[in-house]
Amino acid sequence: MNDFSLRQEAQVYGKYFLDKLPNEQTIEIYAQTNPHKTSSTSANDQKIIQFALHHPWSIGFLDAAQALVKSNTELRKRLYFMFAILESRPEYCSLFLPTKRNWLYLFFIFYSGARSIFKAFFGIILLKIITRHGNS
Amino acid sequence: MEILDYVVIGSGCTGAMAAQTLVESGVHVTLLDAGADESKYSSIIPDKDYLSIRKTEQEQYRYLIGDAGEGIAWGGIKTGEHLTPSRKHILKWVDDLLPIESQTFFPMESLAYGGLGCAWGLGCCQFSDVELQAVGLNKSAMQTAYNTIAKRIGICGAQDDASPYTIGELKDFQTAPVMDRNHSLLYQNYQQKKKSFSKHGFYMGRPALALLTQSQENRKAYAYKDMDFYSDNDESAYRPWITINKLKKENNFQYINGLLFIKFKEQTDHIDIHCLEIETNTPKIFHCKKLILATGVLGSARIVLRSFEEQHKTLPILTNAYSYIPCVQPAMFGKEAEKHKLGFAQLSIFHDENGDNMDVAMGSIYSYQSLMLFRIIKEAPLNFADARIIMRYLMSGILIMGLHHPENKSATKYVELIHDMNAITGDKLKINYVLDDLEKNKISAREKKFKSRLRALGAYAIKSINPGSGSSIHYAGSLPMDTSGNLFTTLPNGKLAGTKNIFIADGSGFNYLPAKSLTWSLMANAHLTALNSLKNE
Ligand SMILES: Cc1cc2nc3c(=O)[nH]c(=O)nc-3n(C[C@H](O)[C@H](O)[C@H](O)COP(=O)(O)OP(=O)(O)OC[C@H]3O[C@@H](n4cnc5c(N)ncnc54)[C@H](O)[C@@H]3O)c2cc1C
Repeated sequence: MNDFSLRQEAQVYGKYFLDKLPNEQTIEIYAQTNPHKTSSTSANDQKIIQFALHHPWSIGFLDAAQALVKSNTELRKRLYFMFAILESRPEYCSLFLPTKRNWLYLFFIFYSGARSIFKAFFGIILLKIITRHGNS
Repeated sequence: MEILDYVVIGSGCTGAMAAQTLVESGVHVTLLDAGADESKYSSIIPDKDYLSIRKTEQEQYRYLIGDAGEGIAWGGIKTGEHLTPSRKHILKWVDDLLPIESQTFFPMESLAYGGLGCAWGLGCCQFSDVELQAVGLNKSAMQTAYNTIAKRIGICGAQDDASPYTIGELKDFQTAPVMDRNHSLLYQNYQQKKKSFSKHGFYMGRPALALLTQSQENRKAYAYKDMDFYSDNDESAYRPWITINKLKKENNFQYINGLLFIKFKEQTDHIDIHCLEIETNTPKIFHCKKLILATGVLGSARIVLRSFEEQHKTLPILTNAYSYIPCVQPAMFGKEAEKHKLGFAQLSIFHDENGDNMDVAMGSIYSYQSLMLFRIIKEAPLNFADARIIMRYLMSGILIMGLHHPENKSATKYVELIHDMNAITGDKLKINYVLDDLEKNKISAREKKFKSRLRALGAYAIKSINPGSGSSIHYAGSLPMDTSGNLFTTLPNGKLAGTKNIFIADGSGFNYLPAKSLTWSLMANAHLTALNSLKNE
């Protein structure tokens, strides 16, 4: 069952990447490209997506866990669509284009990698709970 | 009944060159083609550089990812997955009209106006004399033909360590484009280590490209806008439709599209050409005196098998083994995006193990920018939010090497035409393509050597992606060239054995497939075949 419209979904996923709501055009494009249309979502996928949409704080954990253990999931697909859409919006292009950094930035790079791995461990546990107990 | 003089089928690189040769000789030429076209996206792409587009254009998502997100590929690695929305039309109608059954071969075919040449990477290589001999082509005729084609399409390149494998003996070529920072650094490192490279049989240099760096006729010099995967605004990159558009202005040329060529039947004084109108599915018959097939290697196999109506006949097929290897060059991390840049390959590396310019393997090196982060982000085993931070930092140091291996025929590489009730044509191509262990081991050993050479230059391979046989988009060999005159072979003059007036202008006759970019040789051979078709032999 899907309690969220495509537009609401776009807001949640957009916020995951931007830390703020995406603008109206981005939401519109997400609805138009509609990543659902080529989906055959399994019951587990559906549970995970519903959980993620109801608890947006969990997306980073679920995304990290799935990237590590099974990256071709429906949640990752929808996030991927949002990623591509944000990347092709002029308002957000500065988040995606390479920019000059000094070598100290390497520390931040290592931190980001380590953070994703930490999130993955927590995410794996979360995935187990969600798929066992459903969305609550 | 109208009998046309010369009919060429197909508007790809080979069809365009064959048609031009015939038109220039003064005969009447009709080019029949499926001819799927694209205007939805190409007409809205502004004539600006990639970075300016990214920073300012509201409509960019339309041509970068597609109105329906068709440029966002999710799932396995499929041949053609990387095509951008404005290039996707080269696949239009293909699944329905050219069905294929295979577990081992994943080709790309096209029914587009300009064929696969609408998206080709412009890489040009001359085959060496020994390679030409193995392919079955005449050395001196090909030398002249290489020059003719180079004049027509415009080739740029350089005299360097790689030129025996790229421009070969071509004298008249434009200067190579300016390299970006990523390639410049790699090339500088090579210059310091070239002695050790040549000791191992490796040579690096600028690729020859069918790209204008100086304006020629109506085509403009390349302007480093880095929009090469999306648009052809200045026509600096050679595309076959440039030739056909020009031919359309000639009185002795006509172009008819919207047709699927099904089969031919040779009568005593003419040839029947059986087609299907694609939009209406209605049969249509043309008649001609001479027929030149340029439908691509798989296309020609299909048509010839159908026309000769021989049951259970298998034909050989060749494709280069191919993998692409993303690499990082750490010295380039954390640099800003480059505004003036070339999207095509900027360096080539060749492995000539025996030093005889035979069985040479070729790596084409690209730097990564205009295909955007989203296409590579899914390769990182990290959540997308953190992967964005990391990949954005690495992006200025990412290089992709496309690696091609030479290929020989074998009994486990073949195509056959089988019945298919569901197909519009009532049949489909069944393809089997299996490499033996010796071939596989050779490929993997070669791949290791290439990676080790890159490492020596300060570029580290992250992984090796092998999309499967057929993904090189280089095909040859279904109607091998020989003098036997047996059915399903091509005579050295390009005539289809067993026929009086039917010629094959694509790569079907090639007996061997060098790893080097083949299309310049395909075009040169198409030109020679067209010349031969003018003679009454
Ligand atoms: C992304 C990409 C990059 C490439 N990069 C390079 C490179 O750097 N260097 C290189 O050498 N090669 C490259 N290639 C390969 C190159 O494009 C091909 O070798 C070349 O275009 C083949 O030309 P062709 O005329 O033989 O066949 P095609 O291009 O396949 O043309 C076939 C033509 O025949 C028509 N046709 C086919 N069947 C029928 C039918 N039944 N009825 C009517 N019409 C029909 C089609 O409409 C089309 O016009 C690349 C290809 C791609 C897709």
